[in-house]
Amino acid sequence: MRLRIHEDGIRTIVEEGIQKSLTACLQCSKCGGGCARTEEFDLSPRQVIEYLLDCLDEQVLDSRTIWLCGKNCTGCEAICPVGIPLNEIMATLREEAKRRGIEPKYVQPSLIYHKFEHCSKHRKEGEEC
Amino acid sequence: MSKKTLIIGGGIAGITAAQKIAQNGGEVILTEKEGTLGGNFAKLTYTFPVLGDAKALVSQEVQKVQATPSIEILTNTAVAACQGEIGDFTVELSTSNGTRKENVGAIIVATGFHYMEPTAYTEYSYGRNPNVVTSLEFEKMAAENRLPQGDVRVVFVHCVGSRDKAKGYVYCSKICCSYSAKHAIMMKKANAQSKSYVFYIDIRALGKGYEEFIRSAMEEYSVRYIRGRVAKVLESEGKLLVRAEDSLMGNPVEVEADLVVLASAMEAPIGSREMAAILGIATDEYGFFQDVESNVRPCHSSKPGIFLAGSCTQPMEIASAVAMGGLSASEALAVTR
Repeated sequence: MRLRIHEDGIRTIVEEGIQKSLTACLQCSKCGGGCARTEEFDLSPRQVIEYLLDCLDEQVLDSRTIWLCGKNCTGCEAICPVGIPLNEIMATLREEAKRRGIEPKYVQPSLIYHKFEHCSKHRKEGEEC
Repeated sequence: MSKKTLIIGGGIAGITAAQKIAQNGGEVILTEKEGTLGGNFAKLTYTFPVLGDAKALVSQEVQKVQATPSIEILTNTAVAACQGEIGDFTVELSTSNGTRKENVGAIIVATGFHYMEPTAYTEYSYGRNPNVVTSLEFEKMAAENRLPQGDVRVVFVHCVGSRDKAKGYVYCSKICCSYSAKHAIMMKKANAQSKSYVFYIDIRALGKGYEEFIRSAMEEYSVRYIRGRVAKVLESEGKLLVRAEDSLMGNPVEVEADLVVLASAMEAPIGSREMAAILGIATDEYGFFQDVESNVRPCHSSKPGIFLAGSCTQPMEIASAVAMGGLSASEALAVTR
């Protein structure tokens, strides 16, 4: 189905929250490439931003990514070449989803992530990090 | 009024300016802070988009200026002070034989650029793993026949320090897309068994033959281009694991590599702000020398009589540096003759 582009989405709420335009995103995809949990995502962080710019609000609020990304992790924020505050964006989106009565997809952060990504001594034990 | 022109910097822009001034009857003092002429050009192995022998090309130009009596070459020389105005500058040069004063009518600044050291990019393991190198180091490896042999994978990473507001520069360094394609081709020529991967964000091939050159890397040399900025380079059992998102697929990908080449940004030459203070000219926010008007007066500095040439003004390829050298020469001649 062809998407009719318009401007009336939650993008404005998100941008007010971060005091920055989402058009700053280069769509370079560095965020998703470095993420330890990217395989659990349905949208990579840069796709969340592109969807917001296209006002595809329902797809964003219905995604797993917003419940998984930006909890106890700053992996993507730290490497973002334009410093987009993805954690804040995800928090705003979670709030908006809650307000609309959308059920969280995953609430618990992955423990595997904490153990193997942040602790280098575990990396050599044959575990995926 | 002095009829001499001082040219600061013996790279291709300065060399070209010196030749053009001499050919038109002017006199030149050409200073170079290093011991030899040639600048960044002399550090390359091949040119693009035609794979020309870089060292032969540059030494041919160096020999021309060396053979010209009206060009005085001072290597290991820095400009210590500068007074005066257009047509009548007094400059103090610190040479290896002590300082000397010269009276010149015009000055051309052609101090070139510096390759950024990507030390801030810890996520790419640069400085930690010897198999993660910059493009300049790759050139050196190629010149010394040290490119990896056998069944190896080589990954080229675009935009390291360029288009990166957080850790580098907002600007695009302009030539990295093309020279990374050149490196991938050089790799394939040096080792037919090798496989090359280029991770890109956008491909910017802004010059005659550049698009065709990059297409040839893909089509004739089987270089695989993947759209996505590399996020991490991990060390894994003696190899390197390059992680990114293939953004056309929207899928995370990884490549096990033997060598990772970072296309680091072109930045302003070291000490450009100090040099600008000595000369009394302006620099931009990045430290490149500022032109007064970028479209029709690209080689006029903020001070009359002082002209700019080459990559000390912005990232540029050799052809543009040569063109700007020629333009600055004609501006200097208009002042001194």
